[in-house]
Amino acid sequence: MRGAFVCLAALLGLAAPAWARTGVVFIHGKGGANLASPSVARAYWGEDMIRATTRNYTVPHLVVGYDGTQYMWVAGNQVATQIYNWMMAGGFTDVVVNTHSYGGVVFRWILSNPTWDPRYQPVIDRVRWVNTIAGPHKGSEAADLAGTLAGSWLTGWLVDLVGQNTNSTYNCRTDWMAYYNQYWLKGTTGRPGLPRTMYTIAGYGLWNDFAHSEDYGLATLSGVAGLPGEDDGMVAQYSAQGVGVVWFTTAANHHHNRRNDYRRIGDSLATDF
Amino acid sequence: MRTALLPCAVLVALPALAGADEGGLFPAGEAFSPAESESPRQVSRASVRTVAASGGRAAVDVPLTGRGRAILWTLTASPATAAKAPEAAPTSLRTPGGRVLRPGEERSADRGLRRFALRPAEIGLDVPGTQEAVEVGAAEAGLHRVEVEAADGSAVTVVAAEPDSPLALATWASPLSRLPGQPVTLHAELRDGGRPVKAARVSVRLAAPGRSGEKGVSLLDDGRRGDAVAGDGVYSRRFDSLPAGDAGFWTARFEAEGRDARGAAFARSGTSGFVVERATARLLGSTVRARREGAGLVVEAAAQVSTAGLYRLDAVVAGARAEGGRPALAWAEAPRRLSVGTARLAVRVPLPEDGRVAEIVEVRLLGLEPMGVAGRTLVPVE
Repeated sequence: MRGAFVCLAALLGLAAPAWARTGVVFIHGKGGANLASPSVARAYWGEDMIRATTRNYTVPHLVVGYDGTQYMWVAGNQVATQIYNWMMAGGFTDVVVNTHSYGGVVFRWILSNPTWDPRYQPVIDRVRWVNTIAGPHKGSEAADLAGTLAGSWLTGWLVDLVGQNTNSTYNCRTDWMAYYNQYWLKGTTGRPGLPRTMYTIAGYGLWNDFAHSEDYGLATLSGVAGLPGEDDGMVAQYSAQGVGVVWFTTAANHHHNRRNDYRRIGDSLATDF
Repeated sequence: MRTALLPCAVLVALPALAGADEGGLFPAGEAFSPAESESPRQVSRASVRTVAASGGRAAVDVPLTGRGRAILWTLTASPATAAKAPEAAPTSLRTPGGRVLRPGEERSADRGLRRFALRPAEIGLDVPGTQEAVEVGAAEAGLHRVEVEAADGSAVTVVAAEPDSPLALATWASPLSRLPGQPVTLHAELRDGGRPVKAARVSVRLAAPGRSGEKGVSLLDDGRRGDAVAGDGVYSRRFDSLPAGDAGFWTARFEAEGRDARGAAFARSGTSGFVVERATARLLGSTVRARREGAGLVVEAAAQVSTAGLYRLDAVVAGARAEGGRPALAWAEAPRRLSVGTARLAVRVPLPEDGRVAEIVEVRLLGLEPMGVAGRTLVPVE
């Protein structure tokens, strides 16, 4: 459906005016503070994902790196600053944003709160649309499980041993996202619409690569956390499709749907250009 | 300075922009969805138990109902290894029927028990090191003994999940956003398939932001103290006041134990949460009015402000009730910098010109620095 729209738009010259300078941005999901490092952020996606999406690097791109432990508004400022500087330096006026997991929530924060930071509105103005891959837009039951496992439920010295959740994990809990969706974020049912369309890509697979320990982890997490309905091991489909317009679903699990390996998602993203 | 949302109590340096009013129309077919009064229900088919190791080992007896497969996931943390990503501790499992998986074995003799490694960081959990899980292909009803070799002083957590079990614990809090003075009611529903589970022991612990959990209190299914209907499988407890703690996201941890419809013992753990709002301002509900003016609507309200800062008046307009609920028609947001005292607020909302009649308006006052809900109300259009 969306592919047909993109082709039609390209034929009619609607996707981007002839004078527009087009670029693509990648925004990763939650993780460690080291994701603020450009090399770590690039490795998150994998080089083949970036190569495929940019049509062998012919489309200018920016791989955003931000501290993956932070609340969406802290991460949002880091993301907006990098995009703003890149688009101003390069003169980009037609930008497609690709996000994975929590990166979709972070960018929805930017779209929902254009006056929060002076860079938000200029960034929004230059975005064509957003592809949100496996975004926990209504939260993740896996983050709920992290709350159950948190050390705060223990006493004495055990508290410090078991560990505490990062702010980004809290941010992804289903109850926190319900609160944010009601008051601070746009785009869910009954809330004002977003200023740019988000196209969703939801995962429904678990076992993509039996030789890889990550897949065991995701399959276990899916069972233990009680993800409802179809899920990719970390984010349920209902949540990934909680905003915007469904583009497609993929059998790639949460680790593979940010890469161009198990399913050629980068090839699909490249059809935007 | 913009204060990060309550739980972290961390100050975030951001430019405080008042910004311009925003507003627009909802697309036809959009349903009106006022702020929900409850947190979403979190469903659990797992139990979580943590014990301290002594004598070089820890043992946990896990009750399983024996309906489908089970996953037993062991997490170990010790003072010596917490900082350097510990390796999985040797774990053994003995089932009620005598099947055994010994430390170092990948599978049991009958191949019904299978061990594999997990790295929580790879799956987004903030737990260090490598852990391991055992999959029980066809779980038996009864106590499964998990033993872990661990240094004295280690914390051993066993997560036992029965993903296919019809016995589920659903937990939620009401309200999701608690304004100053409001009671909070916590709920836990136990169902075995379609049937309510009665005579279970259910307890809850509350934790304020950044604090450890309080002592547990019982939830009862007796039709009192916040429980709506006795004997329906929903165990509840109303808190007219909360323990000491900061505003922000509070978390509740639930524990439930009992017997399922077939008499097998079970255990379930769950969580939920709610937001304790700061008393920075108060929307004076009796002052809120919505009146037509020209082609739009003007919403007026007064607020009692006790902490000066940036606030936002939000309005969502809904049409007449129809099959499937009310349609959402239009919205507006008006950021305002408010001083201490009584503030008069107003925002203009556009209205559709397609003949649909505006009937009610949900009005909210939100704090933006610090973030929080200062009030919400529904008013008719005059």
